[in-house]
Amino acid sequence: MRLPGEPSGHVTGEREFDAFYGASVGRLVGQLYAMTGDLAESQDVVQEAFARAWEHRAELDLHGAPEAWVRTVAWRLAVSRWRRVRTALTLARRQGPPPVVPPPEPHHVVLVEALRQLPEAQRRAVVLHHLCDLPVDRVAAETGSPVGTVKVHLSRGRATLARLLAHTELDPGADRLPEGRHG
Amino acid sequence: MADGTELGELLGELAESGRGRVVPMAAHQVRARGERRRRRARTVRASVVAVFACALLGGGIALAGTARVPEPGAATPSPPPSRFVPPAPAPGEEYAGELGYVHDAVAQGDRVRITVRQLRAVAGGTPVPTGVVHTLTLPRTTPVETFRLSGGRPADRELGGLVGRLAGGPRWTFEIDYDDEGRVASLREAG
Repeated sequence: MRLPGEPSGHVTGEREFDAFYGASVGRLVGQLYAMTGDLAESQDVVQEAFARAWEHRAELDLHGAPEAWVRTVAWRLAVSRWRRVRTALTLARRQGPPPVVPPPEPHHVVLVEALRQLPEAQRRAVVLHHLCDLPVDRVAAETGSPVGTVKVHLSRGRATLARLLAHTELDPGADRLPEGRHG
Repeated sequence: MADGTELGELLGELAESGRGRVVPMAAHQVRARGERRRRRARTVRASVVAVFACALLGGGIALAGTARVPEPGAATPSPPPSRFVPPAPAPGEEYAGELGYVHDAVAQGDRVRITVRQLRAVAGGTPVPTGVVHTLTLPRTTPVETFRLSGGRPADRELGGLVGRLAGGPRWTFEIDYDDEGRVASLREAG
């Protein structure tokens, strides 16, 4: 992958890609986790999306927003719900020893369950806007939706989350988060 | 969580918790996976050109020799028995792949019948037709991974939504994934 200012060359491309991967894979897995509520699935689709990014790196040069490209591809893979267990990445992950990781915090489980009850479009808009800090117009561009539609998704998504979390220890304070705060 | 906690902070904590609970693969492994996909696509693209050229050449020869070729018999020739045997996954693999053109798709209720014109990959060369042609009747919901069919962007579709695009002659090349019982799990556009 070649970004502005980067010298050309195969080895440099690998280094650039590795740096891009290392800097963004964790962040993207976290974002996809919030979008999907499934951590293992998020890791699978993000890594598969990075494999496709390497495959199509020439197109990424033209696109100019590689992280958004990877996130979009990962999201499409995730929402397909086809569980691409056949991919080599998935096989490799499942054949390896299970990583020793702490269990999720109880309030994270509550939040994930609430997020899962949002329609996919609302969940994606909420995460892109409130977690990825994208302004509404960029959420619209990334999702291919009109700005007005994104605002509706955000409004309804926050309202639903507020209702779902009202009787828990979590309260996102939906009414205090207008779109304008993020642009 | 306190009343003042905002949604963005909640989501940020959630994302960070997920981030801390995964161990991403090494970058070179991800690149290797991308390279395999790229090589496969490049190989099949080359095969498409070669087969198209052969088809043109064959058509030209057929036209030139029209006067010398006798009329075909009245009886409709029956297709030769298919030599197709569903491939079996290699040890340790979840799926086995078949490379081929997918064409002549026909919707049949909740299923789709497709014709597969099998290709054989040649190391360092252009895949060649094997001569094996067979049909598959698959659920409309069979997952299909597309790229050129979806305008040059990776996309996940269902076979039922692609019947119109795959209804014509051999044009689109796919890897077909078979499980260990010979069932098709999915199709992936290869060219």
